[in-house]
Amino acid sequence: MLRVYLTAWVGITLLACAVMYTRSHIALGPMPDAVSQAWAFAYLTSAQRGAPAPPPPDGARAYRASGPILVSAYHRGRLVARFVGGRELVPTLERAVARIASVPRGAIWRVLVTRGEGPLLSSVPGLALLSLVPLRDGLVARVGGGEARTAYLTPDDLLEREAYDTAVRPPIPDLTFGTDLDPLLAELAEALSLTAERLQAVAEVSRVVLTPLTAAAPAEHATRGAVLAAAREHALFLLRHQLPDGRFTYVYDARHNRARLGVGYSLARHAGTAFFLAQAARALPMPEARDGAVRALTWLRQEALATCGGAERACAVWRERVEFGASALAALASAELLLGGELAPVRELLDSVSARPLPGPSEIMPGGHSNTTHGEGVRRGIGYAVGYKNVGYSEGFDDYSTARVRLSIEDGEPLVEVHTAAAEVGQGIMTVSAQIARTELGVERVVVLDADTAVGSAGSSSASRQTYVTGGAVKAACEAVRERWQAGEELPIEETVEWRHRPTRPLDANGQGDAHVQYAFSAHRAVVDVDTELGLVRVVELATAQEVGKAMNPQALEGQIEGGSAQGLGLALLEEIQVVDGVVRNASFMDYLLPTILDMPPVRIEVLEHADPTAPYGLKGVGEPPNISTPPAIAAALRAATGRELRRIPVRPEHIVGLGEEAFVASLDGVFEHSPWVARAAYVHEPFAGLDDLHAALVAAMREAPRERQLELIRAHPELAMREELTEASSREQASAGLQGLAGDEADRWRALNAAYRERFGFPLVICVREHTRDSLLAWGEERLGNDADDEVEIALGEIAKIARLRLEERR
Amino acid sequence: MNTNLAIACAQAVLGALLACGVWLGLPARWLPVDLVGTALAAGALSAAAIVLAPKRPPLALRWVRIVVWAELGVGTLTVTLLAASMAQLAGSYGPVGAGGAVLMGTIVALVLPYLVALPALQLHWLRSRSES
Repeated sequence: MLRVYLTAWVGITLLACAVMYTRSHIALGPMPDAVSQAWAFAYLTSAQRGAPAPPPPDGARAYRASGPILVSAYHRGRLVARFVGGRELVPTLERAVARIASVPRGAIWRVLVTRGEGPLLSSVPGLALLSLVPLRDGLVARVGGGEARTAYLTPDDLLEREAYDTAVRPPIPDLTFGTDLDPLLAELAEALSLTAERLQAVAEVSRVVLTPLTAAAPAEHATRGAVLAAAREHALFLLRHQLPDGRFTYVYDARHNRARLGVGYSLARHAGTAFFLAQAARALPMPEARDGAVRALTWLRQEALATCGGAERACAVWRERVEFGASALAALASAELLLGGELAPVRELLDSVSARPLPGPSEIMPGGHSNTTHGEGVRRGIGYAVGYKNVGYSEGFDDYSTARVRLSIEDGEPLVEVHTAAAEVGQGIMTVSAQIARTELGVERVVVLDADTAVGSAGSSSASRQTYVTGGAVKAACEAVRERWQAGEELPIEETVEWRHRPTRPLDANGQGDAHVQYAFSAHRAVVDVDTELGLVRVVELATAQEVGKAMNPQALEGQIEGGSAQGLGLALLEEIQVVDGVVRNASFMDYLLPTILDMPPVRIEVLEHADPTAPYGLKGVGEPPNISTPPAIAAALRAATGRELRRIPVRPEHIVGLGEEAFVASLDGVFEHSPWVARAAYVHEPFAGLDDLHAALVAAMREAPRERQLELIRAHPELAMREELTEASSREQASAGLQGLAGDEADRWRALNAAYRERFGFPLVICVREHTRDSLLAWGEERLGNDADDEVEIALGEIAKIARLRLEERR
Repeated sequence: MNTNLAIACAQAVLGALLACGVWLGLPARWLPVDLVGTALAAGALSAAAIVLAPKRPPLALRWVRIVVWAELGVGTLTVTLLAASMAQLAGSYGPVGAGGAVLMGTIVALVLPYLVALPALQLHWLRSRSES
């Protein structure tokens, strides 16, 4: 009996498995080919616009679904029409268009083809408790057959009832098991005007696999490029919906093109989004996604991170509940950001400028048409530099601008007047203001009135900020006008708006903090020809790449970059305000050297647009960055051509040929006894703002020298009060102290002192004699015999510094 | 005597496992499971006591046989339901995947030895005994 029982059990179990699998499995029918799918949407859209419909391809004519084809229209997220057709695609679409032709413009079409149908399987006791329907499937209820007595709950309808955000679909659509069956049956019953109990008695309810057609059918296997492109699209979508403080709006349902209402803010979703952005930033790379992830994590840290259980471990706490998932995702996002490395698009910029072809030999030599060389002594150098610049007022400053926009009718045409206090200094704010007004209000006639602070402050035209802040203010004012206009208000309408960029914070005690609103980056490559014998320079070409966020006006933007590069060239080679002891030594600005068109080489510009999601239109300030990266690029090119260190700008001809250093050393001859190396070492710090600055540099060079060099310097000094050959300065100084021509006991005492001192320390006694009398010199010299050697070296160096100072003052 | 001891040990272990599993292991109370589990545990423990009793009451072996058959019935039904569930999930969602297979395999591995293999072995012994 036992054997019979066990054999029967195994058989029954296998049979049950087979029955269950067969009943629950739905063999999927075919889909239309990609061309037919694309045609279906083209057909529906044409019909909606009243345009001629494209003819159906052969694949669409031949297609036959496994069950009815459903055509739905959604408008502003609401289902406005649904047509349940037959199994053929072309007749179904034709009838659908005829039946639901009144759908509003802008409606989104959805075509679902039935690929299979199966029972609900609620008869198994254990599984009936689950009562779940897979989300990828729909439900269909039929009463007595016929279209009129059929009710569908499509996968879209089922998704509609889910809490998760459908703006970004989960990677596996049926990741979740499903949704509760009872409310769905109640909905079907209501659609068929039945009670739930009656539905179960008279209707046949089935699971149905409905697959949507897509306008552009996906490839069979996604390529890496396609996945990365999709990731970029998703990241941009998320960044567009990120608030300045780092939160996400999560209001948009991409499937229905509408706002999602009634969905509370989810910390886990927030952290997950930050994680995705951080991944996108690393994989693509995508600096703006990194910025978004940083902002999201900053918000999380400020609003939700706490320590758990008294330990130092961080956890996310939201509405008094520990969110483990959010903590884990935040940690993953942080790790991604750390792995990502680069915050600045430095590599991208450098790659861009270095990829530009190099210019060929130049026809014009350094020195121009003055015929100073025919190429002899001319060397070419190439240099690169990258710079970044903060934009706008920083460190918590209340940075704002005011704009007044008036929309009226004049001579029967709409007119927009834009009024701000922004100072136009050539950067193009007038043009951009008009451009923004036209963009926002769609009005061709725009007048930008003269700047007037009576409108309200616009701040200074500095910090590369006007397009950002005043542009933002104009945009905001236009939006306010448009809102009132669209609400039906009569013209004229005027709005004045004070607009602020996202807040910044002062740096903390450690110099850390969110101090700047944004950074703009630029890179330059300079190609120079240098006459290394005459020190003449010709910049052959400047190639630049700049990250501009969004190019508001490409022509004006290139003009700004060229202008900034020209200023940078001037700083590198020409311009210098010479200040000595607080006094400007330049004669006048009439002969101040500025680069002219003859000095400017061609500027090859590459613009990178990494939109800043918190800025108006994603723009960034562009005025100053080229000014920062041009001078070091030219200096680097000059170094490459000459092999010299060239540690100052502007680089003058004497620096290039090496005369600058020699002249400097010669000018300081004798300040340090027989030791020109001190001046040579200090030269790298040239130019000097005054005597104090020069003396400090010389003393620093002396003190930073190796001890052996310092001892050489001390030994270069003469012994005091002795009849030996002296430099002119020493002779004058000793004479002034009465140490020349001594005789008798005093001379003997000096002789004994010098001998004893040299024997004890190995170098002569050094004293700045002008600070002493004859008696005090001798007394202090004898006293110093008692010092140890190290102390005496320090004292001697200090005396040499005093001597040098007095000698420098003498030469002024 | 050795067979009696083995059966008693098996029943005692099974009874203790079921009682602990139902009353300590399960996170929530559910009458059908609690009732069947407790009844089986009580039956197993009583069978263990009866088998080891120096003086067995009449019909003692028959009671033990009933208990073991009940255990086998519950065990085979459980395994059948689990297997059918797996088949249904595979039908609805496609292959259950490695994770699903491990999960179901673990559950079956926990049920098969105690509620199918062991009772079947005991019934085989008990039948041999009655035949001898």
